[in-house]
Amino acid sequence: MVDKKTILIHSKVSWARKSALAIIGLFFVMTLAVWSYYFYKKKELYQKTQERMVSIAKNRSERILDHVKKYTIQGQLRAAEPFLIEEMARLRDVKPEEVSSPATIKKEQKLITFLEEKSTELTFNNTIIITPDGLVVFAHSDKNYSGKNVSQLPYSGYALGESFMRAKMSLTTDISDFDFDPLLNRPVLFVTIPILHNEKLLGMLVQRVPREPIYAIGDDYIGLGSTGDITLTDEVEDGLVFLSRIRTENTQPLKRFIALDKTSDYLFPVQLASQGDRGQGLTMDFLQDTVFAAWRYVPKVNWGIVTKITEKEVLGQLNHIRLLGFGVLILFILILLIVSFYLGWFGPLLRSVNFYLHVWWIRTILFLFLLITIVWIAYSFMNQWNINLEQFKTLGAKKVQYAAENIDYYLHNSEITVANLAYDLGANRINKYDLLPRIKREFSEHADLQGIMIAYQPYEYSKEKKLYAPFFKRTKNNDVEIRYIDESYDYTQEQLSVNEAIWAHAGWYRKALENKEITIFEPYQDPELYDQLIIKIAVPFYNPADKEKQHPMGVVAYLFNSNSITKIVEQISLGDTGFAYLLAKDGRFMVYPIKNFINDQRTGQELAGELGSPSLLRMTNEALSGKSGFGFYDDKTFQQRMWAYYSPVSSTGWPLILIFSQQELKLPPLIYRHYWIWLLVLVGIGLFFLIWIGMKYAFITSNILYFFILIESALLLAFFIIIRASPIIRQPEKAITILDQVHLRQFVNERDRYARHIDEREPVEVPCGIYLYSLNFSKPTQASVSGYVWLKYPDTLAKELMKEPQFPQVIGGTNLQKSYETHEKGFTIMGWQFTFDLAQSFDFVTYPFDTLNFVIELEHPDLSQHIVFVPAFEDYRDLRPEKLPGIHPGLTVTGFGMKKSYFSFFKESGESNFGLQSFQNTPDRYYLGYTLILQRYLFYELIVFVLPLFIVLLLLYALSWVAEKEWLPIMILSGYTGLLFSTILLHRTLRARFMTGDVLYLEYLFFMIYLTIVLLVLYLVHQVYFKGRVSYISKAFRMYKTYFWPIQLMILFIITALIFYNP
Amino acid sequence: MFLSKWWLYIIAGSLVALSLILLSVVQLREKKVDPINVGVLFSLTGPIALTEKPLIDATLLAIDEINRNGGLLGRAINPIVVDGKSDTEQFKKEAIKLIQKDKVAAIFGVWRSSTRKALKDILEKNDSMLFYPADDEGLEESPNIVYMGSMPNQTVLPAISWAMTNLGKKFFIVGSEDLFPIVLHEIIKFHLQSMGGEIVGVELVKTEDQIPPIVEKIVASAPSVIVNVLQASMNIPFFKNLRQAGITAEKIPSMSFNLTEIELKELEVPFMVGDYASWTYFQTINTPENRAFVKDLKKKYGKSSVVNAIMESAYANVYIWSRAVQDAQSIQVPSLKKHLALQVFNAPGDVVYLDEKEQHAWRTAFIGRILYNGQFEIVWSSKKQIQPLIYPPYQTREYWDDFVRKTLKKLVSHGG
Repeated sequence: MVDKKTILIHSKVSWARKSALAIIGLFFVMTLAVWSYYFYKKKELYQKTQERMVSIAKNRSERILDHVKKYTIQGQLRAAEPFLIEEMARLRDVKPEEVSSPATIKKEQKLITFLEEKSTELTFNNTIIITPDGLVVFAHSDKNYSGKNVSQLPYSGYALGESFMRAKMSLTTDISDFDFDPLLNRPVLFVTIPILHNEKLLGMLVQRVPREPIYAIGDDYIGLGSTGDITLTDEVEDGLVFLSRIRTENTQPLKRFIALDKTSDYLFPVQLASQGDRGQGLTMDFLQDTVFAAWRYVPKVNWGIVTKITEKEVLGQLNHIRLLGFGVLILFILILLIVSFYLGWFGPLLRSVNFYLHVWWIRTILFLFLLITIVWIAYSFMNQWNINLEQFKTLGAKKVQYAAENIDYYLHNSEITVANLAYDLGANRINKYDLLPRIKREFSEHADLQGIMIAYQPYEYSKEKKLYAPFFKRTKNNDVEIRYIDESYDYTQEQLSVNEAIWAHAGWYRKALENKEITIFEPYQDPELYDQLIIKIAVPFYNPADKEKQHPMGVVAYLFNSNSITKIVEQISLGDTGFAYLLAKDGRFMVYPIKNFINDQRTGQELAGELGSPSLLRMTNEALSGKSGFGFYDDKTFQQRMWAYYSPVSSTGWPLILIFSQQELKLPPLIYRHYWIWLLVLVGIGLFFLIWIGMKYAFITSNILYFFILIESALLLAFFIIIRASPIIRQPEKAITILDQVHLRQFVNERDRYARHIDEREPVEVPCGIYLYSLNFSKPTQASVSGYVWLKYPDTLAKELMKEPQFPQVIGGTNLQKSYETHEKGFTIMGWQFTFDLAQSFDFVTYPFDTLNFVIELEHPDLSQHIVFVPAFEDYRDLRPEKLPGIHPGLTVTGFGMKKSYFSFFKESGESNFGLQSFQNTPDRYYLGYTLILQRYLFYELIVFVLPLFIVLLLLYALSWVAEKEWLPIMILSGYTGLLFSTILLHRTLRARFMTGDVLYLEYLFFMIYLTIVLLVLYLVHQVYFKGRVSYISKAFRMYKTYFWPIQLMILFIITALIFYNP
Repeated sequence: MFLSKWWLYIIAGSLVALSLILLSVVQLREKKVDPINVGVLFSLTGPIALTEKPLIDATLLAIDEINRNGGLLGRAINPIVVDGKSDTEQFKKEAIKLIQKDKVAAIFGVWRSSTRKALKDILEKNDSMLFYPADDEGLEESPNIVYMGSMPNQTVLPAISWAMTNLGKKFFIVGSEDLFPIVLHEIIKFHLQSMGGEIVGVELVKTEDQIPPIVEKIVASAPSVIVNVLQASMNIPFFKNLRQAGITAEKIPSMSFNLTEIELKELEVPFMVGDYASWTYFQTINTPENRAFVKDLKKKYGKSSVVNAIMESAYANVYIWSRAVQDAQSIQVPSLKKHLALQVFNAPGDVVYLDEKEQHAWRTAFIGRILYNGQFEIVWSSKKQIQPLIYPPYQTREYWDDFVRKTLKKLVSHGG
């Protein structure tokens, strides 16, 4: 029989179980509901955000079009005004010199009065009136244009000039480019309207469209949150120019440019929009942010518009739901645990888990799974290099082939140009007297064309007889100069004397005749044509009736400079170090970042010899023999492995070679470290599993604790070695490290190209060198330094220019003494001796495993001059960073080892324009920095701090066990207190050394000791007051003591992993 | 027992459920969706097949590309290619068949203006859409036609202006006796008068035997430029006669508005070397997009294929239509019409877009000089798209409508 009490207990238990189940069920449903709601809202939010982006893009592009349309209609209405037509008829024949004459001014006054009367309905002050010949006869606010002829250079190349010509030629209202106008010194957008009357073109009425409303449209971030932006871009030759400012940058319109890689498989939304595409979606923008974006093309003005908002911000709206989700999930787990514990579910649960884990095959499977994971991570770690190599190879091949195709296309077009004149000469369509106008036309249409040589009738052809042979040369003033080759030398001869061969480069005549078709000659430097590298294309001409090409009538040769080809090659880049060069068939450099290589007629083989690389020599020879390939060579100068992809230009066989450093293939130190950390963690777990399996087979029988301690210690030690071996060097944002002349030229060329795109002056380079004699870290944020600095000012710079360096970080002890000034090779060289204290921003968080980068920033004091200091590489013997260029061999820094030194360019923050408008106009402004990487000596720090801390920990451990045997609480407590006191003293010493707001890595060891002391004291108190009656506390503390070292090591391991995973 | 029966039930049930899900996914993927029929109406036979056949190639290339990228609204585009046999009546017959029987969503086709005009009523009556690729004389608008070719103000007027600046001010105009050349003559006359140019002769040609006396007149009047609006087949006899009379491109260059790479490929090129033409596209345009387009076309239709401006327009037409369909999410003409305005496409030559009011395209103009290899060397470009003007600005709309009416009447009375 069951008694009432039992029934009551059972009913209570049953009720409790039901309630517990209900609570668990409730929380389970709540967790499911919250997360379902989160994912539903996320999907909805994604969709709504995309729709919003599309709608904003559409709205802003309509507003832009409405704005332009308003001025177009206003202008068209004004152009139809009878008074204006009458005035235009009068002004149409004004001559340039009469523009400012009293009569014209009087006429203009009438116009002004007329326009002012209309000012309430029309924006009269933006009007320009131009005669059909292009003369600006009226410009109310844009006065600089008055009297200028916009159909003539340079104005014909400006937005207004181009718009005028289009409108005049098509008699159609034209919307100009939105472009920077050098005459008005600001960005402009015009609408040009032809004025017609009585079937006659009277002139053009130009309406300047105010740009501020356009900027306002671009700045209208309503609906775009705090990270959203609207970009308006215009496609230019090799990139995009931003027409409105970028929200995250303080950039003026038309002063931001991004170069675009045509070989890239990925196109940014700004690029897609500008080239006429449209779309929306979650994508990556040009700032490398993941954004929701909508992009479209704005017709008529031909801009691309992109509206975007970061994914982070969008998802931020759901943060509260996500937090709630996590909260409910944690609560659910907690309740599950508590209820399980309370209702005794825990035991069976653990038993069942224990049971399954003890089933040998499950254990083995888990171990094997772990092993496979370790092997897989290790394989992907090793393979990452191969993947990178494959990626670089594919990309490099693509870039080289694309450039080679472009060069081919250019040469093909040039050949056709030459053949076309040859055809006309052969068909007698041009005679000797018609030739000059045609030659002038050729020069005006082909900017690269520098000369034309023709050997042709009226003399009858004879291989040994000189023909009448004019040489047309483009002069520096773009005029045509005629000389006669036949008077200079006998070009029909096979061999020529050295003097004769100067610009003839023997064989052009004979070889073309022998080939009977278009022949491209090897490039050569032509002193006749201002030492330019010349590519000569020659073709014999025949009468069209002479189908067999039996009777040549002469030869025509065009001499092109290599500017277009240079431009194609210079645009090739790969990663941070990749650059390309082009060789002629005889190995001479045609394009190379260092121009002297071309001028000095150096060859690829010579370069290979200088670098001491037989592999490069082999690859160069292979490339010269017309083969494509991929390989590596060892650069003896920089002691690094370089990779090269080479492929010939198919029409000429000129090898195009792309070089990049093996450094590019290496994993970034942080990723490298991540791989190692995961491997370590998994190996650790794997070892535990192994012990476990070993226990099953009884070959591990002794105290398992030792194994745990051993494994953890080994892991920790391995961890420290990895941290030490892969230091993370913190570089300022967008710092570009420049290690040699090639990369310097590449960087400078890129900056020059940027400057041209945004209509800014190209920066003036001043080579700068630095040499340090002493360095001392007087304070944690300060360094005392002394040494030499020298600058090489080109003679082309103004004499009154301030000539000295500026060290913006100087905070004290300034002493800059000029040591020497001399003049060499077109440069004024000035040297200074300096001693001062520099502000530094060191990061000590990872102490004692920290790596410091000491930086000296150098700027020209006159920021308005746009002078950039560049490393004077030629003044150093060894440029390898490991060889510490710029450091005196006797220099030592207490407590640190010097690892590397190099030059970098740092980007200006752009926070301020220093009061100079022009400074702000150039967003990507760089200044020179000299960096010295220092790594802390560990030994000293280990002795001073780490060792005492471990001894304290050991003493605590010992005391805790002693306390079990010798029960004198007060003595034990005194022992704990003494250890605490020593730890605090040590901690204070550490803090005094590093006055930083951050918590140092080593401090966590202190915290561990504090916590241990607190726990041991609590245990002591429990033992004294409760006599160990609370069994589970006793049990827990015993457990803690037993596993003291594994726990401490584990905590230390976790802290180390967390801090050093992403330092 | 290794597994309890409940476990077996659960596993079996899961397998059945999984199979059902997979089956339905596969079925859904394989579900037949009707393709979208579109008409491709050009001449495969007859005298103008030479010009129109390549337009079919370009249209089909664009359709192929869209189909390869997943089709339109999840459906494939099915081109129904029909032969207009170079005959306006046949064109009308085929257009009606395409609209009424094949229920095509749109027709891509027609090259001649007169054929387009003949189809206009049929299209408007049936509310069907024609995407017309060729240049036209303007002076016409229809809600059922998209005009992708250029208007006279986009290519002809800039070319005449350029010729006046670069070649000379005396012009001799010669063209076939058809609506397009006659309207162009009229527009050019006004333009030259307005710009201070001089017309030294205007001649219309119907038959080849009329050419020698015209050439004599050209020699006698010694113009600076010959404006050529002759139909393709007339170009050989005309240029042959010119050269025989000693007139080379160096002496008196011509500016043609009907001569493209296609005609030059078929004709004897050397006669025209050095002469000029104005179009919205040339095969030699050096952009990555155009290089890819030419490469794709050659890959599909053979290495000797060439591309001209009308082919490029035919190609762009398909994309413009597909984008409007995407926006409308429908192939129905009323919905489509609402989404045509300012529709943009990055065509091989340059970006093209339709005007917001009329369904004519904003196009970039190019002037090219004929090279000895049958291609054009671009000597001038407008760099930006020019707005299409249906009615040239010199006269009123009424004047031009009246002019077209009279011209058509005259052509009919002349048996044209």
